[in-house]
Amino acid sequence: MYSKLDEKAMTRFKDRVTSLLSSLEKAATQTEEEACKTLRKQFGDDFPEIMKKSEESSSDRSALASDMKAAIPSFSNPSRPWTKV
Amino acid sequence: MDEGVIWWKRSPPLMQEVQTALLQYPKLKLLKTGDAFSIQGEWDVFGESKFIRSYQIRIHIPDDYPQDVPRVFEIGGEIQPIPDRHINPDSSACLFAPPQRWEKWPPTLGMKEFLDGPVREFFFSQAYFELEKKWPFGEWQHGNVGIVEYYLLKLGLRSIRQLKELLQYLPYASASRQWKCPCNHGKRLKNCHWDKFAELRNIIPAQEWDELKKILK
Repeated sequence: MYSKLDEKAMTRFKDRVTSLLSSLEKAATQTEEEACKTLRKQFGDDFPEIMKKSEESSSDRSALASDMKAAIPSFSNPSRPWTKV
Repeated sequence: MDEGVIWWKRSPPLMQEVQTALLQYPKLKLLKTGDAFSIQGEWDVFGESKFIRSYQIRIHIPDDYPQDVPRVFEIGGEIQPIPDRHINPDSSACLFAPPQRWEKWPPTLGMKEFLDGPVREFFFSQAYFELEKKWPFGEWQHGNVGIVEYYLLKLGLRSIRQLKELLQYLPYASASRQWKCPCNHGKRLKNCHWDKFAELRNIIPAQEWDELKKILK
């Protein structure tokens, strides 16, 4: 399959495979979100993107926090936590 | 007469009350291990209109319930077991400062009030802290400092010296017209801090005041 490749093309192919291996090894140690970013550099925009997860999660957290803030006045004389030391 | 007898044998209506309280919490189950009972399951935290999150919890009902407070544990590993998250050295949740127990959950109340009050407030606080990095209802400082802080706040006093001075009047049922209020506002005690003091003295039992005196020594 590779017999028709000249030396220059073979070198380029080897470099690409080496780079892919390096990215895959790096991705294996990263969070899902970071790994997607790393692999999108190799595979392009076809590779699934979950970068927006943190943005969505941040917006979800903000909505939950607002909902909790709205609930605070419904507690009558609430306990404050303490700690034995 | 029944001293030393475990709570549910000493008073069967208490067991009835616990079972009734749990009807409102279908994700919590009553478990029996030997003679001891505990409550275990999922605790859901809600905001005003949204479900926020769940915690896996276990509540140990002490032998001398309700004189002793049930111990609450978060068993899912979601809350870091450190003082700053208000987890005691024995991994139990610290629901309130010791004297606040008598205000929040005196032994005349039951499991329903315990779950609806301190337990709900504790896990709401934890979930809120995870989102906002602050405590929604405030917090007491750790250890004895937090206990003194509680009394100062409840009595509306500003210093330990004022608190110590007020404690001299603990044995007296009523205030003499001659006593000056330790808050230094120039009023007589009877017309100043006496009512707050008398009210708190009615709620908090003698052993807690003795403990406070030891702390202040």
